[in-house]
Amino acid sequence: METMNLLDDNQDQENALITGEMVNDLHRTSKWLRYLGIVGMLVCGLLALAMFIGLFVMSGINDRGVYPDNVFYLSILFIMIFCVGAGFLSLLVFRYGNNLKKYVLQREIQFLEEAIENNKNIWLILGVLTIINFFLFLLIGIVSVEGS
Amino acid sequence: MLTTDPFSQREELSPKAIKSLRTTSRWVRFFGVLSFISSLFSIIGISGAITTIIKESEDASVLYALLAIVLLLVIVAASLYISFVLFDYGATTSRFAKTTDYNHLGKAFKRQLTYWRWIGILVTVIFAFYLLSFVFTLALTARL
Repeated sequence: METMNLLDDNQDQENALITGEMVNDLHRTSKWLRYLGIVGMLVCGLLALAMFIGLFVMSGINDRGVYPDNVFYLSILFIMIFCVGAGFLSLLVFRYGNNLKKYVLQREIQFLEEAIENNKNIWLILGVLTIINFFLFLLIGIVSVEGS
Repeated sequence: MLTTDPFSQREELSPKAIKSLRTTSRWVRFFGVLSFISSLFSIIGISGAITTIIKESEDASVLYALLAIVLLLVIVAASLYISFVLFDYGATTSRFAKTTDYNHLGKAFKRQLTYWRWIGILVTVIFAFYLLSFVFTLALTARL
């Protein structure tokens, strides 16, 4: 009987769709993803804080007429938008890693499917942002050539 | 290590998840190609940098010039490798989405792990450099 069970187990392993090796890879990936997510959010937070401090300091200088420049405020605005976008992406990366971890620990396919959805959103957002960025640079290039 | 039998999973992924994987594979391949193109551009830039280094290096600094060249070549090789890994990750994911053969998904998971591990190591190295430069700056300021 025991031999039969062992044979069944071996057959189960052969027929398994998501094997132990795959789960092991997912487990290791989840660690890197959570690490990158935390680092990303930390960097974005620090950058946003630095921008706030810079804005505060430079506003004081501007009052004295030393550095009156709208380009500065525009740059701060762009960096703030970047911080929000990159922070959101880092959050998605963290959630992706977290869902993979949940799947590895609880063995419920819904967590893997949620992780796959997170992964799709990460690449989708990155792709759209990259294309927008490319056209923005192209537009800036055309405008500057026309201007000169 | 989680490589034992109890962790084997027989449950299939839903059609929605497979559709998501198909979308992911397209974007990942797009980034793989983009990354490959930017690596090629960096080769052009680095060739220029190497020429300048060779031209301007005196006999005493030949060793430093050689070190710089080796470092630049390592950076190019690493970026080309990352591009390949990323493209292959997308390609194997796409193969899985087409055939639903879970062996392809296993290969995709392996590629994914390699890719994120490289990115993680890269981020750690960059952080270490920033930390070192911060410490050096502090030390220099304290000395002055």
